[in-house]
Amino acid sequence: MRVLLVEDDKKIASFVEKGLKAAGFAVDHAADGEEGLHLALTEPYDAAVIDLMLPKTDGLTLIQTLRKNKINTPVIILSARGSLDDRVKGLQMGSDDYLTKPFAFSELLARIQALIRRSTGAAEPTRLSVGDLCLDLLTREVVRSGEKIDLQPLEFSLLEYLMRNAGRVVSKTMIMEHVWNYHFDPQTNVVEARISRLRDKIDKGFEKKLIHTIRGAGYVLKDAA
Amino acid sequence: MSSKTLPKLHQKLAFRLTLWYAGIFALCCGVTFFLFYVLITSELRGQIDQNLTRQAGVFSSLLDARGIAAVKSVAVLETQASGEKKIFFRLLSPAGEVFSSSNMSYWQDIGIGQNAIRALLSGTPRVLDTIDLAQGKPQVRILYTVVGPGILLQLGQSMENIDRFVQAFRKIVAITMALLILLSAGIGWFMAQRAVSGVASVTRTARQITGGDLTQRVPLTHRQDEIDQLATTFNQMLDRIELLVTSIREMSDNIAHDLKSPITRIRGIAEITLTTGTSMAEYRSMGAQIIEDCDRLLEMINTMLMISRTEAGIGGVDAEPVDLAPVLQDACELFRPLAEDKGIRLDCDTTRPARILGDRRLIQRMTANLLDNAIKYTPPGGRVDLWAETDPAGVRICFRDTGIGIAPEDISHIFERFFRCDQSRTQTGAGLGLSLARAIARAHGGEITVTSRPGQGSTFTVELPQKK
Repeated sequence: MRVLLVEDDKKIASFVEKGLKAAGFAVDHAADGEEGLHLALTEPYDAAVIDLMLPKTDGLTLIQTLRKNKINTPVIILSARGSLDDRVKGLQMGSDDYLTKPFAFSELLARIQALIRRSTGAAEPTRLSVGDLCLDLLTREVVRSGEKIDLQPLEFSLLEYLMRNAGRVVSKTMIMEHVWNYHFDPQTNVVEARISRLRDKIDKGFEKKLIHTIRGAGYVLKDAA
Repeated sequence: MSSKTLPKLHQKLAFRLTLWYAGIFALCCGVTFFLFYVLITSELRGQIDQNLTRQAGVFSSLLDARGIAAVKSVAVLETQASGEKKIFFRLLSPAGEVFSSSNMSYWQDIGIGQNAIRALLSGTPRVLDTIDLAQGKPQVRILYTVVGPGILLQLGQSMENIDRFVQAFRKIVAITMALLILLSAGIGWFMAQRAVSGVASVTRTARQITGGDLTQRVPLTHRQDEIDQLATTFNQMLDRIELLVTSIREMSDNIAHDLKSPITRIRGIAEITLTTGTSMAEYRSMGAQIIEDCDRLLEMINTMLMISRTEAGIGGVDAEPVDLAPVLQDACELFRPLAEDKGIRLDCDTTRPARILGDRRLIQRMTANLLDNAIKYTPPGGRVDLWAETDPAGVRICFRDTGIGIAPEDISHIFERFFRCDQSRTQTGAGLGLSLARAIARAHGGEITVTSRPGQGSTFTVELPQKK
């Protein structure tokens, strides 16, 4: 998978590039709108991450030009401006997603992967499995090592979200947004309490733990030693 | 007040009002005088006409009784008696030939109206006409009539009395109008000055405030008039601005304080780890702590922005119908593990229907904040009850806890930004939760109240207008 990153802030660009490469992407970085446009028009990309305030050509114009040239690479906008108007404008100009700075890298990664999944039209799975853990989306059954596990609806949603993002770190904010549809982060750690209950049901009694806490960044579900 | 900002005379409202006043007044007077003039002149002309008709009648009966010779002599006598410059007569044949007349030396310009004679011959009883004479002579009113078989009479009377009246009238009108216009301008100026003097005082106050003195207020006259209303509105606006400026000042102080400490922490840990760190574990811990502190800072900044936006009413509040039951239940589900971990019994009663018009996300957030607060300040073994109820006055959402309670002297401050009863700040949170909750309640046209007994618990009640 190849991603184009158009961002003039060197430090941001460097950590995004580093993170994406670590996640297995090939990354091309352009530091201004003109260079970004040139790359986007000449090279095939699976996704593009574009900042709005760019030297030479601004992000919105860049996206508009791409769309005029029938280049349908999924685009995610990165911007410090996060008002509803800005978002709507960005989406109207032809972008596919919008992320406000400052952002958690894990969220950017999840969104890029979701965009690529959507654009390649990958079939929606009916079963998710990680290691010996299996979650059936139709029967809503969870089985680990052949043993059925009873989960409350909220715990099921949380596990489903973690499994869909298996191997990727998801932050507290992402969990709040996707599992509870709460768009803020209560200072009291409600997510942690919920995760610890889920751990009791999923990992307790098994040698290999699947749910891992990455301090500061969030949680990850993975089948690793 | 500098002369630069002083409006020019013609731009002044008082001047324009005066002009309008004087103009309208003059127009009204003019119209009145004109009507008066028309009425009087037509009345005077009517008198002359009557006089002429009467004279003609006399001649006609004289002719019947005593013949043409008597008419001639009486007519001559009559003109001499009235004055030869006042009236004249001519007796005419149907062909228009004069066979008798008074002394016409003064009236020589007056001919015989052939149209009038034709009209008489075709049966019109009398014809009246007004003729202008040469310069300096008054107008003449002329009557043509048939006085006997084959005898036509042309009778004329000078209209000098009308002319005299008109001249006198003009003089009077000119003088009176001039006086009236001056007077009306004076009155208009006086009244306009009175009317706009209040505006001027508002302007003066506004100028002083532009100079930075927000404590100034426009003096009220208590006349309850429009100017007073303007002044009151202006003062209310000033109250609000003063409040906002004060709260912004306080807030920036608090922000400075509350942002500086986490930043100091972040900087400190990074510096210490960089200078003394030896193991990967230390670096990991630094990274994690920095992320946590940054997230906390970010959440604080976002919350502050949200409070100010909600308070300032920017963007307004969405007004979609919101059923409170699922919102409250979701919030309980969110916090239940937390309550359980702390050994707190959390009960959520949503059996009674409660619906409002509002912004679901904001209500969600307000509920979460208040519930978080209740659990945070309730010791293990306590309980937290959450319920909603509807009565004619509106919808109430109640959060009752058996927590540590709030000291009476703190109650009035708990909704202020950054206020924390617990000054040691052992509890997490920036002291913005209640502030935001109140801002949200108010943005929905509601209010939050609290009753509390230290050591026994508190009840927070959100009152919201019911969905109509």
